Amino acid sequence: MASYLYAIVRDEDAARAAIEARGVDGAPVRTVGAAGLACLVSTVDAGQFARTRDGGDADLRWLEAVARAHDDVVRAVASRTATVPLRLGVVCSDDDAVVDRLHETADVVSGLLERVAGHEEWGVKMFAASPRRQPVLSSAATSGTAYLQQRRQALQQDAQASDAGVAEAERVLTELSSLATAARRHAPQDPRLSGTRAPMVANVAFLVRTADRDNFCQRVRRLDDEQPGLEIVTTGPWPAYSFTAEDSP
Amino acid sequence: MTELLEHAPSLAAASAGGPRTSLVDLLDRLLGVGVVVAGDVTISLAGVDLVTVRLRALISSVGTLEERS
Repeated sequence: MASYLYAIVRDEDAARAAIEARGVDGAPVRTVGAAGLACLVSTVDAGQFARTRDGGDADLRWLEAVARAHDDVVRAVASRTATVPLRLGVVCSDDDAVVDRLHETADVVSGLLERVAGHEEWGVKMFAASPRRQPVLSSAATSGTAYLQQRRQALQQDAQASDAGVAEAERVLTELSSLATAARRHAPQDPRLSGTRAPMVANVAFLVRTADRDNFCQRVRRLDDEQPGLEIVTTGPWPAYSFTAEDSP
Repeated sequence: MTELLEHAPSLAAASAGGPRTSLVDLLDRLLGVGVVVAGDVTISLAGVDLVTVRLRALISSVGTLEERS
């Protein structure tokens, strides 16, 4: 049996980080301490992580279950103390290996803990507000040709709205960055995955001081009202998932 | 096409009334960031590949249907 790693806290916060949330496969969560740090782990069958997955329905359900369990644990800990969340699916062969990893990464992780302390993450997604247009699958499309014409037209309108939206989005990002400690861009989500029709022009995570939360969210709402070409959607607060890699700004 | 598009809501589902977040937003964060601590076992989705592969399959299927119609 192997150890699944969720997050790292300072060793002196380990007691405060003790949580009741269950981890992957419903396993209890414990801490492994070393180098002044404590890692939250649970026991897993490593085989499920080593197996090659082809991306079918069953794999997607498995991925969601692991991601939800990971998120539940990280959220529970991050609500209590400064937390460096780890990426999904980090599995060590045993707790001794976890101790080795803590020693290897102690300097980097300590720096990250300092950065995220007192902060939370907010997601800001911006969509180009679509001009009014015919539905993509209009009942008027009686032939394949008519359907394709409508589809082409819709795509052109999306592209135009998207170009205008990108410029507005950059202004909004600059303004929001002034209220945040750090910002990190994620790839815009495909409309089919985000569940929206409008093209996403920006998908950004902001590291915001918890004390500045209201100020940040109010500014987002005001910007949303001021920018008719943009629809701005926030998600959060999140644990500082997007700000715990060495390569983040 | 209907059958294929039914996957989109399940991926995007922020379950109604609950604090649950959208899986897509969650995976942006859990898979779209760098690694600070590496594991002994590498998750075989190879980062975002699982989601990317699924998304590509979805888009190419829809594209094929459009060409046929």
